[in-house]
Amino acid sequence: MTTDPAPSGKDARQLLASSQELIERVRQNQRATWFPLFVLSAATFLAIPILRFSQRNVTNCGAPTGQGFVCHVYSVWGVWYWPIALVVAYFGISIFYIRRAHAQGLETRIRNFVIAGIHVVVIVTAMGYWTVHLPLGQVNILGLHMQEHSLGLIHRIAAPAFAIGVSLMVLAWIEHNRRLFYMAIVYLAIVLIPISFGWNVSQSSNWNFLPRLIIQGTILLFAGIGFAITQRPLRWPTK
Amino acid sequence: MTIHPSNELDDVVHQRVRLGILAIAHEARRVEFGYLRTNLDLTGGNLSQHISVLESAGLITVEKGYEGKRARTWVSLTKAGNIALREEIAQLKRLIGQIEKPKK
Repeated sequence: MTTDPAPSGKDARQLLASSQELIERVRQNQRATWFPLFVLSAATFLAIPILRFSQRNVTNCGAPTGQGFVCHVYSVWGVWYWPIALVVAYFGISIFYIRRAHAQGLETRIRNFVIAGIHVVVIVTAMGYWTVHLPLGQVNILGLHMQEHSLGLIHRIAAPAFAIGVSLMVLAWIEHNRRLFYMAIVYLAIVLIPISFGWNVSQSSNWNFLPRLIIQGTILLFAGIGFAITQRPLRWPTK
Repeated sequence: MTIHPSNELDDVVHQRVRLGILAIAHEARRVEFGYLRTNLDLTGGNLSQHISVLESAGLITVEKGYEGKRARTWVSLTKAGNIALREEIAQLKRLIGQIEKPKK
């Protein structure tokens, strides 16, 4: 309990404002949002040659239709590429954040990003493995009888792009970064709806994944450029 | 009779520099002495005094070490420090609210 004269409202306001300004300054000093966006964009673009030239496996062909069989087709390298690429990306991002913050005299809470990211990768990879082995036609999932067309959303949730979107939301929470949060919402909407901006390639083509990866990678790249312009990463913090 | 919010302010925390140290330490897992000195615009001696007050009150912990040949001092917030910071901010908001409340 204080015995000093009661502080005036102006003093209280100044004290509150100065602490909030300091909190915001520390948050800004810790932010390097452009870096994970560039790394995840690079991982998305790098997937293009890997998926294109990978051996493809065919599973769970349904009953023959008038035009032939409908089957699940998946890239063998893609199954391995995404979990490895995302885990390496998350570790790379965390090392960058730690070193950058350390150079300024701060320690960040980026460890939560790596932990959450790895959890999401494990879940998404397991779901991805499960979805390619789902039978075509009507499927019973936890008592819900779902038709093939309604499984599209499950396939998209089991995609690496969904893991990237969720990890960006975790990063937005760690960084207290509202703009990154909104960007992650837009990205997840584009992944889940999905929005192709009218660019579609035939399902039977070896390039049928291309529009999806180009759109997702470009969004990450442009968002990275936007954050890079506002956060000025070329100014490495000096003491 | 209600207690005026200013009576519930903690002398240790209710001070611009010490509140600033707690606010900065709250946002980072640990913060280095040099960062605090620069951002609070203080001399090393002045900052040391405030850090000692907070450390004695159990609101922060101080770790000293070396990186190469360079001495480094790291400050981190304790649980009690976290609570004290939250309470101080809440009291300040209450105080402002009370002052700005129109008189009946």
